[in-house]
Amino acid sequence: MSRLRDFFSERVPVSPETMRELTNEPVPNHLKRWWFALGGTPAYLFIIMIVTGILLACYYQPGPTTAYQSVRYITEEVAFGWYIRSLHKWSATFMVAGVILHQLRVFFTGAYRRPRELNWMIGMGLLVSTLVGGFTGYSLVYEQLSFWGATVASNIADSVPVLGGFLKRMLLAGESYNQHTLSRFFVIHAALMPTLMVLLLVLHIAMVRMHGVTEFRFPDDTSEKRYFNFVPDHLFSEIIVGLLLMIVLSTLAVALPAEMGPMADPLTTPEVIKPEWYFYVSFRWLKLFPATVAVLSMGFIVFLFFLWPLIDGLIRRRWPGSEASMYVGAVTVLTIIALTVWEAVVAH
Amino acid sequence: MSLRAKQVVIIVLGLAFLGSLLLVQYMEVLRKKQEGGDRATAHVVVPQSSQSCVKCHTEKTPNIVEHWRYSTHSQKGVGCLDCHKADRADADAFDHEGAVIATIVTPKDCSGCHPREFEEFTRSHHSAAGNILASLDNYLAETVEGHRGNFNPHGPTAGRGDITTVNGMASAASGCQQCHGAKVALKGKDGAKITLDDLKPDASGRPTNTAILATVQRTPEGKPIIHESTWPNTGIGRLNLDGSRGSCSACHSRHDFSPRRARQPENCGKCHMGPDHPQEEIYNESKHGIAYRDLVSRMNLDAKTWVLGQDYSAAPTCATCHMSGNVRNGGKVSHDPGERISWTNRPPISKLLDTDQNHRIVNEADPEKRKALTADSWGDKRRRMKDVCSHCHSPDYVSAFYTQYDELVILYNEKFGKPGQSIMDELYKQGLITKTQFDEPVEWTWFYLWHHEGRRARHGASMMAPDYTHWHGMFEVADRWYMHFIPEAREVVKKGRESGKVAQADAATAVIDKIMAKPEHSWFQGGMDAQYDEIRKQMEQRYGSK
Amino acid sequence: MAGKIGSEPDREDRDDKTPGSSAEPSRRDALGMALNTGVALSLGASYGVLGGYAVTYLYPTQRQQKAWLFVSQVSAIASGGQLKFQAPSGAAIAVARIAEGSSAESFIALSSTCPHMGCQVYWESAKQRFFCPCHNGVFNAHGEGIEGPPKGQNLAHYPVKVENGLLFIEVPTESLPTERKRMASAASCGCDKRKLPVLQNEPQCQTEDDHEQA
Repeated sequence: MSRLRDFFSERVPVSPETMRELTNEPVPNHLKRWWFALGGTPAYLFIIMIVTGILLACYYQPGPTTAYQSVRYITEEVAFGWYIRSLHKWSATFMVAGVILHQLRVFFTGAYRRPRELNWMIGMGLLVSTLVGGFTGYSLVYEQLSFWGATVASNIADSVPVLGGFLKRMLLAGESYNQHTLSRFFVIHAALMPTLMVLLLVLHIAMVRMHGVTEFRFPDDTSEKRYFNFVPDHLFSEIIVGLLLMIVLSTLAVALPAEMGPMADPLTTPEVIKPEWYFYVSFRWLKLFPATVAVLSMGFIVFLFFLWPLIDGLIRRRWPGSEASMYVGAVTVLTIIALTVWEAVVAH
Repeated sequence: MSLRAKQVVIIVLGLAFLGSLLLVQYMEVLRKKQEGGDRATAHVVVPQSSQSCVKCHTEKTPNIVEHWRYSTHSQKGVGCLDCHKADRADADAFDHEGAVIATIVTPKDCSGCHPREFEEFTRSHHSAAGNILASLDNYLAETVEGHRGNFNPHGPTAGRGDITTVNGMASAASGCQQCHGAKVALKGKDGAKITLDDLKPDASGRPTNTAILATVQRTPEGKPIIHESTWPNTGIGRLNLDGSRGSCSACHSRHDFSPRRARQPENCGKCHMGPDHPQEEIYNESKHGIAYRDLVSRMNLDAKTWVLGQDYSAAPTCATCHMSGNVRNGGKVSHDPGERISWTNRPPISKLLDTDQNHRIVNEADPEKRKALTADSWGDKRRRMKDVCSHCHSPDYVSAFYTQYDELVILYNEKFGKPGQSIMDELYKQGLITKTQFDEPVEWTWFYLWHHEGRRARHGASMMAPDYTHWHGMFEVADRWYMHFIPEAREVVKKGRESGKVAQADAATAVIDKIMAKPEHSWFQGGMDAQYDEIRKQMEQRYGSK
Repeated sequence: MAGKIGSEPDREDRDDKTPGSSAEPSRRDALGMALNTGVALSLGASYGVLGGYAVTYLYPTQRQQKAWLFVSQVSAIASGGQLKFQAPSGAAIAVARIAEGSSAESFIALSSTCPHMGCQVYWESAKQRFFCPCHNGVFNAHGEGIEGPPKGQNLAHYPVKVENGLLFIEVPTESLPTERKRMASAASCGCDKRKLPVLQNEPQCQTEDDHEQA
């Protein structure tokens, strides 16, 4: 036994003490409050996405003639296929929600401020990758709604001035949806986005570790110590969150499993076409403004948010103690909610 | 929260997660069970021998391949060649993409795998439907409606200069033969029909007169041409080149060979409908048909075995009563629908269906001899039908129904069928009408009376359709009899007397008078007034005076 | 609530709730052990079952891989005769009638795959034997290895059965979904044709007019 330990400690020259120190990051007390654990939730969901995604990729075959059939095969014939697919789908929905909630928390607590501006930008990158992943994944099913969703998206890209045509052709691998399109989407969904997200996540977490978690002291926090241990205390919390998520996801998978819509028909646009809920905002936006205006304004708004820590820094340098970010955030959130609800309640 | 508390929460949540996973397992089992039924068998297997057929015909005739994909054959590895393959010695065999095949698949081909069905069908009246081709009905189509042979057009047809002759047999080909079956013929180089009579097939179905095969017209690829007047044809009594009778696709349809379809009344209604035998309409009018239309979703028409009382119980279709298996008969299906029919209402006078060893009807009148000849009596047949009835009805009910039915048939037979037949026989016997059919009004009238109206009445009673029994049936029989048949018969006699056939006229008049003097007809000859007063008195008693 | 950027905190500043740091060590230990075991079991069981599902999911579905296929009418194979049957997967199978009877026992269906290295054997009718060209393996008519490396090994048998005078063989298949499934999944206008009662007319897909109203 000790020989075995010697064997490894010689080859992996990390002392148990260092290991302990590395893994046992001190956690500020405020993290005992559950809503501060929202960053860990998407991370956990990301792992579920990766695992179920790998499982799904074992049967999925991209291509207009095979995609739908292979998804049908997974859903109807493979043992637990419907469950794996439903887990994947529901995790995606929860992950988008989790990322957004985490970002809201960071925004409204001002946790993005100096010196964490860059980490906010990485976070924005993660949000965009999550949305792209959600969109491409949805398209892979090759059912009516996802096919037309992809068509609309490619035309969104097309409305970008100058670069539009190039972007569209790059996205679709041709002038319009063709036999190479799905392979491209599959690579974006299953290779590009996960890799990018892993890189960004590593950076994100590394930055958190380097800066330390932003500390908050709540008035009602009466404990003498400012920190608690990551292991096992916070780990237990994360396990609990993980289990709760698994229970909710499994229940949803049973109650509302991922179904098969009608197969994509390039000749007939369905009566009612809706993207996934997290694109309702942009979908409504597109209906409100001419294509180019809508696309450019959306891009600009996303860009502003990307740069928000810098903008906020400028504002606060000019007017110290300014609460401008609160107002901007509130207005943005209310607008997003309003547009989403609007899109959700009307058919067209 | 303390660590302890968290641990407890983890344990509880872990168990809850396990619980939700058990729910997942339950769903999985449920889904498998739900879809397992058709999934266990519902997979198409293209046998190696037919893979190239399927590949090419998916392009050329995609839908027949689709039909086949839907069939049980496709799931059991029975492919194109298993049915279409032919022996090079067969009359209609030809080379096709490396295989020797034939176009028409006959009951003999099917019998390889379905020998019992073949045997039952071949002894049934259905398979003899082609025998009509030399009968009175066919005489109508070939002579009265058309012409035996070709004749010249009455005038030119604008736009079609090629119409130089008229096929007098067209009505027979498109009408009679599509139900009764054509006598399939290869086309000779001179246009002649080469049928089984010329080919003289042996027991294996191969022609013994091989010399005649040289005279068959063929396409450049070597495919023999089947005479257009005999194919396409799926008549149930088709007379095939290999000597077998009938066509399985008459009811089961190619290429999905659907038991489901044969179980539905519409299938039988292709032929069993119309003025002379409206069985489909009668069924639709009956409570049986009404229940079927309402409960069709509970008929379990896709069931593998379709046993009444086991696989379904909602309503009976034609097949249920006449052919399909039921719990009482051990689920035995018969492809001889005659096995449960006690009366034949087809001829002018209904006959009881005693059949001999060869499943032919026994016409012997002498009770002893008749009994000796009978292998399967009408009573046996009725017992089999009563077995079906008894799944829903009590024995008393069924017996009482049969009493009602018998009495209607006997009423028709005794009041109109037999008297009418004896009048017609007398008119022929005395030479008052010619031997040529349908050249005198009374012949048409008599034909309407028994062939259309008389059958409607009897069929209506047999399957519980009151309107067909009465208004479309006996009422019209009576109208035909009193207002047309008897006056026309007397007219014939009168004309005969005027032309000098006095003795013959007297004899015929005696027959007619004797019939019309019988109590059941006496109302028509006068003396009805007294009866009428009697009726009025009864009506007043029942409903009160006006 | 103002955020404070913290430097690496001291160990002393931690709420270090490592088990066993307070009184009554023995009772605590027992309870702690029980709780630790409980956590391990609970997590192990639940995630283990999930892992089991994943394995089940990945394991190829056996169910559809085989089917009983019609080979021939029993009467079409003479006693002592044999015929070549090709499974839909392409596998060549020698079906032989080895006895007079017409039950399944009178038939033998042999794989043409050599048990030695998986090459395809062929029938040498002159010598009444199967020969494997890869390593000179020889099998007799019953598929028993009699010479060469596969000596003592037999060619695999396929199950056969006789029903109503028809010979069936159970072979691996390449199967396609049936019409029913395909129709259901390919319904493109949103009208699900399966669910309509039989007697109803063809379902009307939504027309342009409906589009306007919606």
